[in-house]
Amino acid sequence: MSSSQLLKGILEGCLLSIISQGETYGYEMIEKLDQYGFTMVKEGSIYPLLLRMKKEGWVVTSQKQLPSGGPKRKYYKLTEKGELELEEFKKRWDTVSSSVERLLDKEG
Amino acid sequence: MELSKESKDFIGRLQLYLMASGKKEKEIEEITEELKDHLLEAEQRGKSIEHVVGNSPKEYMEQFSREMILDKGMIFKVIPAICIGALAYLLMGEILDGGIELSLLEFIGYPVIFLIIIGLLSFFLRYISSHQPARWKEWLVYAVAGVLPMGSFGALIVLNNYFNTPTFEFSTVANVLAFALAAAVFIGLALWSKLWLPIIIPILLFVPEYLIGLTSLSTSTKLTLTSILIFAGPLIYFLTVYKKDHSSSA
Repeated sequence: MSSSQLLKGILEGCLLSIISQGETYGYEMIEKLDQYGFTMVKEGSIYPLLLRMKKEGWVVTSQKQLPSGGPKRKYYKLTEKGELELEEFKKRWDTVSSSVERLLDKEG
Repeated sequence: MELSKESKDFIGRLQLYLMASGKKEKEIEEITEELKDHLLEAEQRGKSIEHVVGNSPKEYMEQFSREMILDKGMIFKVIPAICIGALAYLLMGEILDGGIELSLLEFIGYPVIFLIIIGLLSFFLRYISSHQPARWKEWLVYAVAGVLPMGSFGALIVLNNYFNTPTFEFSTVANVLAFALAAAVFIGLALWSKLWLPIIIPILLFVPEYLIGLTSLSTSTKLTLTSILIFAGPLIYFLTVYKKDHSSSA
């Protein structure tokens, strides 16, 4: 697994978590990621991931016309399958992060 | 609030890239709309396009492309549609040229080739969707599917010159019927593709030639006029459409 794939997997998990907090759209997700310090994430890179997550059936989308005009906005909502995937991700992440922490603690 | 030129440009190139990679039109539209929305928001906050798509637009486009499925159905619908259109076009040309004359070989050959091509295409389609072959095998299938119709029609023309088989001449009624059939094919293709092109192109190519043929001009004048009009007609048409597109989007 390359480092970008690792980051991709983590980012997918984080997006699942953000969407699980309520229906949201791309730009809002980026703002939330920013708030948590994910500044290394290129803004546009979430869209190919969101596309994949939709294909996997983890999220569903709906288009809404904004009152201010402009292009339609695409909103994402978590499915049941997405919730299961989020739980799986949390478990995987717990294992990985606690192993890394244990290892680094021992070193330091 | 309008998108900056760079962003518009990027969206345009992304669209083209995905279309050339054979992706579904609806999916392409959905993605570019979403990206437009994002770029608008980002630009309102003073962010540049590099901030959104990174330094390598190509890499970014590839990321998208990898997550999108190839629109296989379209490839296998477009090829037969082009074959039918080409046949109708050939027939119409012959009719306007004084009526259809078919040799026995052509009369049997065209329908047989046609059935074989349609059969093979549907076999290829099922093979690809059910076996998920390696990439190079898949592309090989597309290549064969693309070359096969051209190759077999070409072979038929060569064979027809080589062997002398009895020739039929269509009666007036048969010519009229064939003409109606060819016209119906053009209209059908236009409805199916939701484009005016399949109707407009034959009109632009055949009508001037036919009208010039009715005049009492000398043969060389007729030829010159025809060849000018055959180029000028489509050119004027495309320029008009292009202009209209540009003024409506501006």
